Amino acid sequence: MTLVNDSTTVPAEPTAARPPTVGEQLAARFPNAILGASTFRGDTTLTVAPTGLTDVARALRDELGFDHLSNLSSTDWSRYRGYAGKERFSTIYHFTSTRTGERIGLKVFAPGGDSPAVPSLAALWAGANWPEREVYDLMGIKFDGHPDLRRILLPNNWPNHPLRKDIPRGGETVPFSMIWEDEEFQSFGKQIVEAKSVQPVPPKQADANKHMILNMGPQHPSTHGVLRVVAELDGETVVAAYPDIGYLHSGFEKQGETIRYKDFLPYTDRMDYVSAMSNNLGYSLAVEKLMGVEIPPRAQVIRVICAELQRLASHLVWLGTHIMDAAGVSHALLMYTFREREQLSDIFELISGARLTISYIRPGGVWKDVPPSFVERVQDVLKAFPARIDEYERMITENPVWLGRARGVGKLTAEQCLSLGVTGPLLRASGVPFDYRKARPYSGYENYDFKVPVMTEGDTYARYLVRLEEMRQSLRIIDQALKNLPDGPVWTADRKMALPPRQELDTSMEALIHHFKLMTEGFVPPMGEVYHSVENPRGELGFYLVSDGTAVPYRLHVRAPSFHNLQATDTMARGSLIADLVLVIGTIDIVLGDVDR
Amino acid sequence: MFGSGVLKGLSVTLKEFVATYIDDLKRIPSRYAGGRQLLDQTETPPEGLFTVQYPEERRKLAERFRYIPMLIYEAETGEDRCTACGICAKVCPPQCIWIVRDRDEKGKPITRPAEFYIDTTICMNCGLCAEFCPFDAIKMNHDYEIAAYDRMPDLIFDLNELRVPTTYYASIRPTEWAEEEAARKEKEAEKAARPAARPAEKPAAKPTPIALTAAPAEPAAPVKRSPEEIERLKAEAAARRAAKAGGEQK
Repeated sequence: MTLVNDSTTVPAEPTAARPPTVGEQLAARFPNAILGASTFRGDTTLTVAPTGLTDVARALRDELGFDHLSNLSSTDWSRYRGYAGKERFSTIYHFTSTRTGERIGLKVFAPGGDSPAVPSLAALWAGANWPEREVYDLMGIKFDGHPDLRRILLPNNWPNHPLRKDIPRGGETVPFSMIWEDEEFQSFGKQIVEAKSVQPVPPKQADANKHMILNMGPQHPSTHGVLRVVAELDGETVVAAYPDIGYLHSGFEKQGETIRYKDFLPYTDRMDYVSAMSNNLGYSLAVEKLMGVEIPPRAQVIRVICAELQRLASHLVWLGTHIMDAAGVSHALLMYTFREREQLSDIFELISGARLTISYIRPGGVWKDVPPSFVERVQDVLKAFPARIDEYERMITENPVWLGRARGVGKLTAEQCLSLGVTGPLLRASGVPFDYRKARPYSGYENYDFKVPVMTEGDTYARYLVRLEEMRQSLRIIDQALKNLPDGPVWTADRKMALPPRQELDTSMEALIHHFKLMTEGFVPPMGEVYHSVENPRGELGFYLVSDGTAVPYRLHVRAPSFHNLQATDTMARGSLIADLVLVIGTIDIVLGDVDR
Repeated sequence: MFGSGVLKGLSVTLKEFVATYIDDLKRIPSRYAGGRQLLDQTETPPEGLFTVQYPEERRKLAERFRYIPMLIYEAETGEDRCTACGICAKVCPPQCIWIVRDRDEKGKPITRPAEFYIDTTICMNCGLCAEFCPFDAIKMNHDYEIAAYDRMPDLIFDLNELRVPTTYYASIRPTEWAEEEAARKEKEAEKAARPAARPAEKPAAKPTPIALTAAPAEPAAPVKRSPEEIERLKAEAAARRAAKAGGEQK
């Protein structure tokens, strides 16, 4: 294993002889395709003509090094305040360079009025497949040249595209809803009732005449949630695996577009429920970027400690369950990892009052300062964990059963990872030293001395070693953060978000009005759009926010790491045995709440 | 050697197995002899395996633990702190709070809730209501044992089920209570000191019933109550509620 320690960000210095920016280079090369450029909060977004999208994206990838398609989303502008553009819909693409950490956004206004269409990027990035399907499903934008444009999260017979602004939230007739008055329930519990559901149709790519089609899930213990994998089998060999998702789709994005920025925070807990703290952090940072506020140093350090404790907890869950997946290797490990996770959950309960749905890190700071015993309890963790992680290694690393199950299973090369948009430990186990904490540091991660573990094998075993080393590095970060925990406030002093202090309320009328406005209306960001991503335990977690200058997000999109990583199932499972499909799903470390949102 | 990896792993399992009992022997009273009801997980983390034998044993909850909201009334006067302003209902992300403001005989709205419902089936325990309440009237309860046989009438909590006395609040959240009390006293002292022109009856009219309750005199020392005492307080509150409900029916 190699440990990479170089911080790859190079701050762009505005000198007289500065090299042309990426936007300028592209504008010079594609004068007809680039229609405009805008910069908001340091994010550059180019507006691209639909016809030129593929060329610009190819140039970005092959010549300028933007090899990672971070995010693909869309917006319906029909209700946007002051919007006078011709096209109703737009799609947005965020590209990141895994070498320099630079990012650029491309925005395409989709022609075609209410039935818009833009060219597909699935030929350039295989990973654009699912996000484009998601956009088609929820927003109704067609992608020309997409290999398999079907709905992905909603049922096939869903009547509308719910993220469009003319579709109200809630109130739709849900095709699969049932109530206790339904006749099916009349004999409930007395006999076996035949389901009325439609026959499962094999995916159209599947060759059902030649191969066996096997459904794994949606209720299957090793799919880690309600995931259905339609496996096409030749004997015991997997010919192809088609994950079918959406069983847990809860419409968080639509919900987020109807409530205020601050009120959406508890929902982020429920997306990736194994690492709620990281979700809180990602969302808070995105909102803070939109607002342009500064967070005091104490809150920053507390955030880092919490995010790293959460990474530990999340990896512990993964380790215990994944080893269980690999049948019979060591069932006791799950008990040990959950015992350790209990210690972390107790800390979360101590600081926030909740163990799973934490809502501790908030836009503007953290909820409340940590109680005095926090430091002591984290020190307990720092004392106990190194020995515990060594113990896991003693149990597993050389275990011949585990070695036999994990080595060479679910291989991904670096090119495949980048093409599929796979991030996190999966990407790093394939030899790409890309970690947002190093590439685009946030919350002061640049101040900590830690390494990014990288392996080149790209198999399940390499990912196991990478995650174990990440746990050790997280402990290092927590240790440094705890030693340098500064004093001070934990809430931003910026009056755009912070409530005026109590003593001012008695003396100043303005303060009172401001307090009332913040309490009843919430904070109001300026018009603009931002995308911010953090390194979740599973990979890149990003939030794309569009503000129309009101207290409610106009558009809120979540770039969920599990969703993008799950796409790699087919590539990883092809040619392996059906038993290895279980390991492939386990090694991605999906959380279905995160996949379906 | 073949199989050495397996043996190494099993040695860890054996160590943890033995450690469970050694750890228990070190602690008095022994958990396995049934000697403990409340497990304080702030103590040194246990060695070996660890299972909370619920419901015989319970975890000691952190003070900030949050579950379903509760409505606080002054233990002395029985007056609700809630003024039915509706801020909690407005900020509630899943919109599970329903408030009806009370009216006096003339039909004029008064600052008291007539009805207050929380649908605990959709409450997401986020605590935003408690955070936003300007009157410290709604707080998060520690009572997590709310299981019921029927979802619909039983899990929609009404005013009676939500009301708890200030003494109960002070017992489960001593630090928070002490902070609030200190702030309140400071403000009252300030008010009393500032307008000398005002008649002195104002502070006198407020007998500060809170100060007479079991509240801690100094904010630093939190009240530690045993579980039995909390149970007793809760029972008292329930009895009072029942008495009140009975009185209303007549």
